[in-house]
Amino acid sequence: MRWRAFAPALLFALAGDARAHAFSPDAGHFYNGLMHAFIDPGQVLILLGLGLLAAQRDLVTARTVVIGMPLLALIVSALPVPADWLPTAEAGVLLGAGLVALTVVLARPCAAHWLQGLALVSALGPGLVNAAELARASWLVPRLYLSGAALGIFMLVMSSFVLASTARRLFGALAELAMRVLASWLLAGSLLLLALRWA
Amino acid sequence: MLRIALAFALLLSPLFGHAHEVTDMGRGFVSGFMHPLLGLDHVLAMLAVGIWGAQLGRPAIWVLPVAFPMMMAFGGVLGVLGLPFPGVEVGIALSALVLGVLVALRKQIALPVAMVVVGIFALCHGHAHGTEIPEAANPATFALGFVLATGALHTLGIGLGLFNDFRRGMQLLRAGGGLIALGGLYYLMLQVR
Repeated sequence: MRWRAFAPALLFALAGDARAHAFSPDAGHFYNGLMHAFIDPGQVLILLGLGLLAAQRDLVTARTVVIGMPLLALIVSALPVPADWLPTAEAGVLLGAGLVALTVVLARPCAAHWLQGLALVSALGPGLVNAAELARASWLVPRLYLSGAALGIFMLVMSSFVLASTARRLFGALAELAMRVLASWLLAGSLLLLALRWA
Repeated sequence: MLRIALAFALLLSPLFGHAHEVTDMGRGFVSGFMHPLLGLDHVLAMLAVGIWGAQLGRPAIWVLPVAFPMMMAFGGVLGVLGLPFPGVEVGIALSALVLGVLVALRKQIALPVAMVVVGIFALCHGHAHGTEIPEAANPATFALGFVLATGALHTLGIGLGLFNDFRRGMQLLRAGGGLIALGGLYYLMLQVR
């Protein structure tokens, strides 16, 4: 019986190397783009906000946000933009994040084309940030970086939308209130980050 | 048998494997998140906002926790820009005292007035956090951290406030409000002394 007790310990001792990261030189370019949406606070705010907006409004707006917005961001990312546009583009992302969050907080009835317009204008910020980032970091492979960036944007918007719409389906009015509260946090965050740009 | 169970229990309690170092971004977020949590005066006031909102019922239950972060952000902007806000610490202590009293009394007041009360205190809290932002390892994530922690405290307060629907719960909440007010009074005395 005793050997059974030591079997797990033996398994520990026999553990092979843990390879946390695959080694592929090209993967870095893709991964860089993918992670940009997740580690740039401005992009996190606007993309989470857009997901909430999509879940709060009608299906047409949701489609525009989840499909149209990442596609437009990808197209804008491919534009030849000078690297010194980066600070302006980042400020634009924060302004967009504030506007999107405010729209969710207020939850006022609004014509669908206005919301679609807001979603598409919101794509300009992250798109221009990625384009300027690409111009700044000339060592990046554009094709890989941009595909990673577009996927990152899509993943963040989509996960926010799926979570929020699932919560809305399950909890109804309570989830709608929670979404507005969350949006107020996003609005507060974007205001503070904008202030930091001017400080 | 016990030994086998112990051996498997060890398997279930491995130490954390830190695959990545905590960089400035992580430190900024964590210190921002901890900033409201480590100040008891902040914690008391935030809980009181959530509880009072729940006591006031709809729509205050969600309007107050929405109004607070937005006004707090304005206070934070003042702090970030280095604009002075006299008596900000007194304001924070007063927030715990006044909101605690309002919870203890289950005071029902008009929503716009409640928003103004909460908004003024939010400015004080925001300014206190905002002045810390520029010194943070990563100011951006510090700001996001304290907004998130404040929201989490409000949510906890709302969760506690839901006990208001039960008679015993309502009494406990009122007693809790009294304790919050006492805490606020203590911090106020520290500031005034």
